[in-house]
Amino acid sequence: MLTPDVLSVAREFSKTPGPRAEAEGPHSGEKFLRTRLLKRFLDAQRQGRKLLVDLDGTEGYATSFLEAAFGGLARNFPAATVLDTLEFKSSDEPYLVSEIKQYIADARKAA
Amino acid sequence: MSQRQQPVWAWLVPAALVLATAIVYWRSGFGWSDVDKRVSPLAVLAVAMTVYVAYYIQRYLGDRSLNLRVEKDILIGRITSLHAVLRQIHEAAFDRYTSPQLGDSSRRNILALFRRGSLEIDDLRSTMQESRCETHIEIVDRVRSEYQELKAAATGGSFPAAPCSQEQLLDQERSYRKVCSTLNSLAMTINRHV
Repeated sequence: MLTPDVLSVAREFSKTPGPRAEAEGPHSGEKFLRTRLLKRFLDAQRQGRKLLVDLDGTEGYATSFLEAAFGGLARNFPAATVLDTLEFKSSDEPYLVSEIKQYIADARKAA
Repeated sequence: MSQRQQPVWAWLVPAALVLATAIVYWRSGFGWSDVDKRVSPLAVLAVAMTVYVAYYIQRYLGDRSLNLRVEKDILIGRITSLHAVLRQIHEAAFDRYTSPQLGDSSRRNILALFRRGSLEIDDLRSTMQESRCETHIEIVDRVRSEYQELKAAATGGSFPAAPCSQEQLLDQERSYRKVCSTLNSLAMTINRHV
């Protein structure tokens, strides 16, 4: 089985994830989706691998950031495909994983 | 929860009582004791068993209720601590509606408080799983879900942009009241648990 590709938010994006939209401030969820998550998600899909999103090492996540990034991804791809490709690691705040999965599931309804 | 083992004294005490009764009764034949041989050995045994039952009830049930009280106090302590975090979140998040701009330190503070609250709920849940109050764990799950609603109300939308609409403020206030009310109900349920 192929090892998953790892995307660390703290190392590859920011230790202080910001607001929802790029216009609202730096390190936004939309920017994370556009510059990091989307590309790595497509790469992982092409290679038939999983993408492990490492959420640890940041100062914390606002709902707005998580919804814009992961809900935003699920508005562009079927929620089942997103959930099938992404895996999450969150030792700092374990409940974030189910929170994000909820945003992914709800995103299609909102779309 | 793991099966509790019977304490050693539960079999040691009756064994000692039976042995002592037998020795006293046997030695009385040598003038060592004043026990009257006309007293039935069964009557002596019955007295010994009565003493043991009284001892067992006092010791075992006393310990049991004391342990349960301690477990309840630990859980209620965790609930109190979570309440304190919720109050801090409520006050910190209110800045978003009163300040023209939410500063970087306020944003960090709100997110750190939400993280702390989330970890407090995890601690409460795992402590409860180990306690004799685990039957009420679904209330902790309700607290978790309502806490997520509060987080979404306080840090969703255009967070950390400030100020926010009256509707968002009301939504946050409602979520806060709801989670506090469920938490109070959990504390009372734990306290009444027998």
